[in-house]
Amino acid sequence: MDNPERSGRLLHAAIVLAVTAALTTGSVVLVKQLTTTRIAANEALARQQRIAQILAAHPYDNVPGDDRIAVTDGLLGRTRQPVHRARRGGEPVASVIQVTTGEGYSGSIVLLVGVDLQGKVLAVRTLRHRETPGLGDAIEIAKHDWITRFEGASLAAPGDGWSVRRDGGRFDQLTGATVTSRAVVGAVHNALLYFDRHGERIFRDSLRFSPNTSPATAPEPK
Amino acid sequence: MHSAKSIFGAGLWRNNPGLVQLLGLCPLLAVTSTLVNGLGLGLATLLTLLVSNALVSASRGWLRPEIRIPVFVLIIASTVTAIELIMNAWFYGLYKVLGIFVPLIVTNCTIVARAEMFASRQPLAWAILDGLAMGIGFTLVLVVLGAVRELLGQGTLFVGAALLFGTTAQHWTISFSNDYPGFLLALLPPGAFFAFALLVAARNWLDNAFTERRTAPVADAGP
Repeated sequence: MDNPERSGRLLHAAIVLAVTAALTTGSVVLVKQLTTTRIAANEALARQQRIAQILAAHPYDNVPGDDRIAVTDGLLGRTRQPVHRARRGGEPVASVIQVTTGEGYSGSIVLLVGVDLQGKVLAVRTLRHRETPGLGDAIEIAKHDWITRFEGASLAAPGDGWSVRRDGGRFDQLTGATVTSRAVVGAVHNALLYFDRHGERIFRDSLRFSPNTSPATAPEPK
Repeated sequence: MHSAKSIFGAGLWRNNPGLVQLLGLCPLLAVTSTLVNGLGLGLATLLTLLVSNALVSASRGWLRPEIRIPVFVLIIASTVTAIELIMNAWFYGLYKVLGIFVPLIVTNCTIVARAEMFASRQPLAWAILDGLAMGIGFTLVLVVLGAVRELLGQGTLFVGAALLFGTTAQHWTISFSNDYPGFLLALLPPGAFFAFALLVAARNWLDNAFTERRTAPVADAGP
């Protein structure tokens, strides 16, 4: 009956909704703009700090966080993983291989595994994980020293012992977090297997500025 | 009609969003494995409630009943997204701990409930006060639940305080025993339900005790 009035109300409601949508979306875009560089810098910084810890005893003069290649290999994870290269005077020092495993207790565990030129583990650090607080999160160096037990290990030593004790291996499992421990031991082992098979390719200079590296390279803060 | 006292009384005790309205339990139960985690999510929720209540109240003049829910959803979703981005940029350590739970604030019915039941009908000042009171009430529940679970689960308090308060808080962690065996159940989701149920029961028991004391003289006034 009051068609003009009714459509007027509807129009009003539609305009209010449209204006709200525009304003709210606009403010999210604005905040996103303001935070993007800082967020990327935070993530890059966290990665650099872990790489620096791994390479603490091995002097290098490049920026391994930026000197990286991106590789796709089933041993390292389902998606493309960065491999960082530490050099001194242009000569290779060590590589830091990122390996992602889905074998953990909850979500994927992302590890950085430092490997010297002979294929020996320098150190391992967690980059991201969602293991149970109080149990599986002991794989973080901040919570427990368990992750240091890989230092000095290689494919040859402990050889057949690359599993947790419960499975007959040489690595203690974390109490209450056998699944997590098993996943980390397996992931570090896989990183070493990758290095054994493809290690000589990591430092090939042709890869230094390969276009493949760009997607994985985070923007640097000025 | 309202007073600051009645609004705070409702938010903290009479109509506490966690213990009485039983709203927002999904993030509440998921995150409270430690005191600091609980406090972090509580503060993020508090901030969201303040901003969303203020925006909803400020726009109530030109809000139409037909579209109020979509407008609330837009306001709340964009507020949470902005808070998540800001946390990621300026409180990265905390973000790494709470990051996956922050988007859950969108699903926290407390926020849309306060928008619908209170903020969209009240002047700005009362709406902000209500957001503050409900936010503090929710944060207190998260902190108490986090403290109980952390204490039972790993025998500590304030683990990870440095994530929230900076490096000066590194020594805040209290460890009550060096060889506490840990109580896994308290840290896992079922433990959250048990601890929360006990908390609700304790609140109801206290509430009954207060009410009885208040009404007791009246009963005694008889012959």
